[in-house]
Amino acid sequence: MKRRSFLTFAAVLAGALPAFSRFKGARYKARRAGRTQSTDDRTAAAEVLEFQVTADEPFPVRALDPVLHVGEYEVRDYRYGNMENTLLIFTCTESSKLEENAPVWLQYENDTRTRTDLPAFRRAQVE
Amino acid sequence: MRLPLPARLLPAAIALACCVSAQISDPAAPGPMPVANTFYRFNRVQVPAIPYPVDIWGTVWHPDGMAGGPYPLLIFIHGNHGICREPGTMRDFGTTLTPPYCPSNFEQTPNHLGYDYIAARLAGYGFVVVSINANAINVRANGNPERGRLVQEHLRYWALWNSSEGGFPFGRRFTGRVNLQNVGLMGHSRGGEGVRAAYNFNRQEGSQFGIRAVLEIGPVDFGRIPTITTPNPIFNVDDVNFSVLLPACDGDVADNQGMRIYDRARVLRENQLLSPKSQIYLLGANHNFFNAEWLPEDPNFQCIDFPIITDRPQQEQIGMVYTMGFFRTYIGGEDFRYLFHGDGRPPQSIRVPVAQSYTESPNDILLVDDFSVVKSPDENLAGGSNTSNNLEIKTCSGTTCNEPPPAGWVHDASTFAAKIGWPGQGTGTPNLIMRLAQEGMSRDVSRFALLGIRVAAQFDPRNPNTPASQNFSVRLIDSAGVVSNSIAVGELRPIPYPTGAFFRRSVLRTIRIPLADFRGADRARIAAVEFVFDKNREGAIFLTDVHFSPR
Repeated sequence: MKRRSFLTFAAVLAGALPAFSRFKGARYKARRAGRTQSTDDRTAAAEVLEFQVTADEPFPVRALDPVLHVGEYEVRDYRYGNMENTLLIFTCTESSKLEENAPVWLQYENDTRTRTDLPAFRRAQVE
Repeated sequence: MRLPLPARLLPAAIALACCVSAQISDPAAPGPMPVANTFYRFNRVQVPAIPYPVDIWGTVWHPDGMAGGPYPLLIFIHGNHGICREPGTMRDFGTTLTPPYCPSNFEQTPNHLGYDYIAARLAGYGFVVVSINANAINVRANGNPERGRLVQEHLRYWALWNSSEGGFPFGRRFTGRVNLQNVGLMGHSRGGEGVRAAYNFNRQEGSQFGIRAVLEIGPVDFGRIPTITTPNPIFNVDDVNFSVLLPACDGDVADNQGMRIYDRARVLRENQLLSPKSQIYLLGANHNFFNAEWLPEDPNFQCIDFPIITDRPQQEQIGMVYTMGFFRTYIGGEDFRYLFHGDGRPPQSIRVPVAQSYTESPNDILLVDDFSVVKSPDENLAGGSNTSNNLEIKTCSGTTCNEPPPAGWVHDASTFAAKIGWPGQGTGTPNLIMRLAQEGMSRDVSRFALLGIRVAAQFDPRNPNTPASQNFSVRLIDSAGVVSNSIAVGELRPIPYPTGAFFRRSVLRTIRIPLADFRGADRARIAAVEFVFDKNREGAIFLTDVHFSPR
């Protein structure tokens, strides 16, 4: 009986709330967003990249953080870009560590259910 | 592979898990005192060690009139969640504004009001309960150290309101009425790690406030990356009464990473407050329903083999029973320890199976083996040998405990266990003899009251199809060779089977056996504990934390 009531409940809510799974329609664009300040003569200013990740449904606010993976590199600094929460903006201050053609995916920490694969990273496409 | 738990057997699982010993009192009944509530709010305050302004905003439940006292202070803090609500709905969103406030067509989500159902009841037992709003820390990465700093700041405000001068907005209403040396903290989700941080910051700074109990519900454990073997001490809980509630159907913190907190705490030596630690694994419970302001975390989510709770009052009852039982015991001085050590049956209002892990202060127990010594499993922590017959046994920790997919092991990397399967390659009844000292020596365990173990079934076809029905025996052997009667472990408490959210995981539970139940062997001269795998022809379990406990 409980199983049935859960399914009914889930069906009612499914249209209204984001589910923790892959995000439909997810895509991104990368753009240059300035340079970091150099702290001394030996440290060169680095290029800052912003990744704007968009989906057709909201990215939920939850206990686990969304992380943008660019190959081995994890971009963890993020903010919401609209009040519908369909846009996440990740800021990378170590863009030199990003490898050309690295696979890109979004995932909430270690919750692999949410892994959403995106096109590979290509510097030529950075706006 | 044969599944250990066909869904059709759920009723049997519930019956087995629920009803093994006598009914005891329910701590969540309404208290004897009339209660009142109020609130305070200061916007955009600069708080030490938080690099952005935050609101000092809390709702307060307290005994009406505040006569008598001083009353213990409890502080609750919620976790990460949307902070902007569409008016007239419970749909919450992250914001685009920095610092994080809401546009004019939204209202602020009252995340802190979601625990009123617990706070109001606790106030009726003579607690001042403050639930603080942490919206300014939400909707950004991590923030748990900042949550800890926010809790500290609220405590400083309460020191002001408790002082002879009092302070705005309460004047002298709380002057001398709050006991800041008997403080308890509760954090839900990221708030869990937040209160752990608050506790540790407070003691690093000289323990101005007497934080004596920390309770976490579905917490994260960001400070401990599972592959790193040296934990961050900011996120440990030694020298304080501690419990963690783990919703087994947690659709957010889906790996129940909060179990790592108990795993670490169970072996930390204590210098100030020798205090018990516990973990409450709640089948069916979800992440969000502990906060009455939160909708289900994931409506498409289902737990393996066990129905997720969809009835909010049912889960709120769980929240009340364990939160109230915890603070009434470890702050209020009453005795609801049965909820935490699991020797008794939960109150009737808890309608899901519960599996506890529990230890008295690590200083107070005799830990015979947790399979952490270099020569394990051949030698144990007590200095004796482990010998086995017709048994597969090897020591594991972290990824080496991992079961075949889709099962996993999510205990802390510091937790070791024996991975045991039977029968082995030999003949005869499989057994494991764990000597308490070198050959020919014994130990006096007469000052202890209980023998405890932590155990869980593996995800393995050798286990019976009927859920939670694995079983084996344990007995004591004294130095004269006298063997006690055998106690069937699985008949005392069910041995948990691998279930959970998203993937199967074996979650260890503590089972404690009164030493008085072992007849015959001389408790002043115990030479060995013997595990006999005589109840089922085959099986596969994890076993660890074999110990003697004084209570």
